[in-house]
Amino acid sequence: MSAVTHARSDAADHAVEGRVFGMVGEFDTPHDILEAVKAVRAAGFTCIDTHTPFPIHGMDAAMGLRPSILPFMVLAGGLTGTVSAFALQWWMNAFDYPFRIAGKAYFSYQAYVPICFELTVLLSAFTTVFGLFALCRLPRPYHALFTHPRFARITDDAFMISIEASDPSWDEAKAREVLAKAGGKEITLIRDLEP
Amino acid sequence: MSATERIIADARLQLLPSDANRYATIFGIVGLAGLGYTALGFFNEADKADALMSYLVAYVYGATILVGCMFFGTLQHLVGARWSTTLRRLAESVGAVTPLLAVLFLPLLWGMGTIWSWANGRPQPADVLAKVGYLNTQFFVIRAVIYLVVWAVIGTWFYRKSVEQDKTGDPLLTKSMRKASSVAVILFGFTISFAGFDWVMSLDPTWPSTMFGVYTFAGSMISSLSTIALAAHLLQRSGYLKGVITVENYHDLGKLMFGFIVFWAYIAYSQYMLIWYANIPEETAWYRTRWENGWSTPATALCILHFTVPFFAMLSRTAKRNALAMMSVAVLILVMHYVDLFWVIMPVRRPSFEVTVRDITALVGIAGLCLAGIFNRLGAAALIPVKDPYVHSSLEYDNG
Repeated sequence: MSAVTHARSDAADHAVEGRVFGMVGEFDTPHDILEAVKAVRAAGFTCIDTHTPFPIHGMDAAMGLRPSILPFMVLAGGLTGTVSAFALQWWMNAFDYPFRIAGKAYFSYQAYVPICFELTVLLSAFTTVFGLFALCRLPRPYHALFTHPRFARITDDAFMISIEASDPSWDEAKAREVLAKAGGKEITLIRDLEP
Repeated sequence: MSATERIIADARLQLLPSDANRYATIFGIVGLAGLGYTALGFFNEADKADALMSYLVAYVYGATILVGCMFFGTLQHLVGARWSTTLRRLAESVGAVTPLLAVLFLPLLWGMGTIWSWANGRPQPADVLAKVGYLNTQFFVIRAVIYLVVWAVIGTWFYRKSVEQDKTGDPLLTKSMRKASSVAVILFGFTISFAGFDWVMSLDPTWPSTMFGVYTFAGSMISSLSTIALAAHLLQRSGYLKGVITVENYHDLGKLMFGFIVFWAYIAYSQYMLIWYANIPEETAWYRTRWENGWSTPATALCILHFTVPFFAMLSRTAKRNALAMMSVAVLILVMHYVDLFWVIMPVRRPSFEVTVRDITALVGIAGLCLAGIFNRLGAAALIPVKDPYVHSSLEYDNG
């Protein structure tokens, strides 16, 4: 019991001393956060992120996000599936071990289509899921934002904007002021627990 | 006045009556000329069978597109769609031309014994006689009348109710159309499938394919989606509906087109693969006549131009949001839908692949008369359901 308490107070001390990660502000509605993120960008911040319980229409444009490269990864994954399925079947049935089935030709490409289709779908789906993991750098058991006691609410009813200290135009006072002016509440400085 | 109200107030929502009349007249005359030339063949014993076959291909082409558009309109009511409200009147206007199909069916009825071998009155093979309970002239005519009446009633009823709402703005009309759409969609499903079985599949009365109805539906759907996309783009290019049909609306229409390009290929291949795999002579014969003597050319073209090219062309988000890309794919699909029907129907009559002048004139005839009807309907009301309760949602719609 005492060990746990001790560890917790250690962490708390560290948090106070840890380097600054960024500034977080809360907003009430999807509309508010959409307008706020435009204001934050207009103030010159670029290393920003929004945290909402559900996707908000128009947020990508408001945040100035570039289109994701994920679709191209999925296309590559899908085509890999098509080609490898075709090659697999040709190699097995027509080349390495020619085997007559139902009186059809050894190279019966008509029969290959379902497997090509299935493997295309399979590798497309895998690329989508694992590509997303890679692009989001998941799984991520720790992130500086998790130290914010209110952060868990972004999966429930909170809309948050974070401005990161790695921003070229980072300034603690300015970040606080811009978030406040945009209507932000509970504006909190976040420190990174990790060295 | 909200932003969407201003867009609607500023846009041209009504075809100029002079434009509508002029196009209806031009297409009507061209159509009659085309049909007239084709009909000359009907009364010449040597050409009769071939001319009627050209006419059948063109008729099924027109029918699948008109009925597909009619279905698109009713489907939007059934699912309570909001994104598509500004596109719905275009579909309804095309769907309202369905009564014309009943008139255009008359030559087929007259030439029935020449077109469908099971109806020629001569002794039939045993496997055709076994189907006589279904394939007999009386029942065939009764069924055709049912399809044509159902389509005419659905097409005109939805168009009329929708136009009535332009004047009254009564939201209860939306409710009654939603109720009716559930019945309309079921009737559409049965009639399009059985029309496919009756008019096209029974040309080879010994050849069965249980998924032929779905194949007919797939072709109908993708060609009518292309028609709607093309009509919307052409109207906007001519200065109508400025800002009313947004890139977000086109994006969703593009997704549907993409989906049905895949669906058509999926169904066409599934039909082929099962028959190829089972390798039963009475089934494979159908594909054999459609592969030999030059018929492999349209068959290969279908694989490449009805699926592969449009698939990759419509794959990206950018293409679905690009007017030129979507119009090109729409035109390609409309051409390939004709090739599809030609390849399915014509080998019954012509042992080797050839295209005659009458094929073209029959197509021009049917397309001309249908377009005349479409322009007549488009000119008779606004180009969007102006007082539909969802019209503003459609304008504000965003894919995110």
